[in-house]
Amino acid sequence: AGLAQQAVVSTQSTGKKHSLGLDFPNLPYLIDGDVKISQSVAIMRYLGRKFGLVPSEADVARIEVFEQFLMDIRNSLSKVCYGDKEKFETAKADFIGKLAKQLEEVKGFIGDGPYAAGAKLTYVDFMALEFLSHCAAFSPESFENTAAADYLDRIKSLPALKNFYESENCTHNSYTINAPFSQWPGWPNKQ
Amino acid sequence: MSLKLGYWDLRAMGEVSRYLLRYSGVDWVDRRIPLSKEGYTQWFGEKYSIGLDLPNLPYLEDGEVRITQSIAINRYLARKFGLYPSAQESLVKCDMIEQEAQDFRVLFQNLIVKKQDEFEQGKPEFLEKMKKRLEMLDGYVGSGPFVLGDNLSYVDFMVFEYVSQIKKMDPGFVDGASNIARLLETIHSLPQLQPYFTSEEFKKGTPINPAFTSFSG
Repeated sequence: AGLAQQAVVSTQSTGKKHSLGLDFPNLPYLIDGDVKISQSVAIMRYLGRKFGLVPSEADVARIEVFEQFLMDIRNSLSKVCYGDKEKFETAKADFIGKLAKQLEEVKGFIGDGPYAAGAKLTYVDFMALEFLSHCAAFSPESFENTAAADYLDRIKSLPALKNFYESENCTHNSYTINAPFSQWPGWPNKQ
Repeated sequence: MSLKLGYWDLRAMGEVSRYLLRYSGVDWVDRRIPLSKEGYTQWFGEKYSIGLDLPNLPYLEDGEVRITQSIAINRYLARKFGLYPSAQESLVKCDMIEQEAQDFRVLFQNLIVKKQDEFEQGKPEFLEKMKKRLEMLDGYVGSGPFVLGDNLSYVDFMVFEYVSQIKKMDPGFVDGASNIARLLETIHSLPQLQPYFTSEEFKKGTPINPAFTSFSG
């Protein structure tokens, strides 16, 4: 039997959310023809496969460990930034304390690189670029003179990305890192 | 014996991998690190010297392979034991359900680490939110029999374990989700899992979460 027709039952009117044909309405979502997916990791892995940004078979397990390690860091940062106001300063200090060791681990993992899978650029390099850039905006001192910062610079200097950063409408000049209502939105061009 | 899973003596995020190993029928070492002073000393003493790139618990050793991160371990074991989808369309659905199931565990974890009063306050909202998500998962699974249709995959074990964890806290959790309830029964009845379900170890039970949380189960 093929996959059963999904029946998304919504008991509340949530506007567009439940009318896009997503099995699990959420943000982010991706629509690519008939493919309709949510869950950021599923989207990243889909785009990775689509654009050839995948590791060789021998490297899959190692790269997936790095994928999840980066998700852990991002999720930890989210917990700090979306947590209670009273707990923010302590949570921030704890996070920064752990970050130093994690960046050492990134250095060990990447080695000479230039990318996570060595010579081959893969989707996890983009996860590292974005998630570690969030951490660098949150705690710039943690990244000073680190191999992790060099790794991020290498990815940022890819021609397509360079064009994006230099473009007039680069969203990084207007988007916050976290929601504006969070304890640390990460406004562009500000700490 | 070169196949070993190391994790705290908990279910939490290690049990899915244990189920995959039990299902496979291969010999493996179920290394459990006690949540005690001795256990912590032992683990933190060796954490950085057992060949792990990104040290953490759980970890898996398989000959030369040494990996961490429960999801990476689950995918690795799935590929090893024929529980990973091969068809292109199934890959994206698999990833999506994997992440949905993971969300069930992560949100449950976020709730139970709260202090007792915050936990009690947060529980009703958590259950309401999760029941809505369970309803979507239920609709998705449909007649199955498995999450991805005809073929059993590792995400069935993720749904099985993480829904069961919440069900331990709220026995009526799957009452409105008959396809999920059926799926739980189907997985529980897998012949390959009966040696485990009839074992002394299963009868003794393993806590879901650490004793210091608001729901250890």
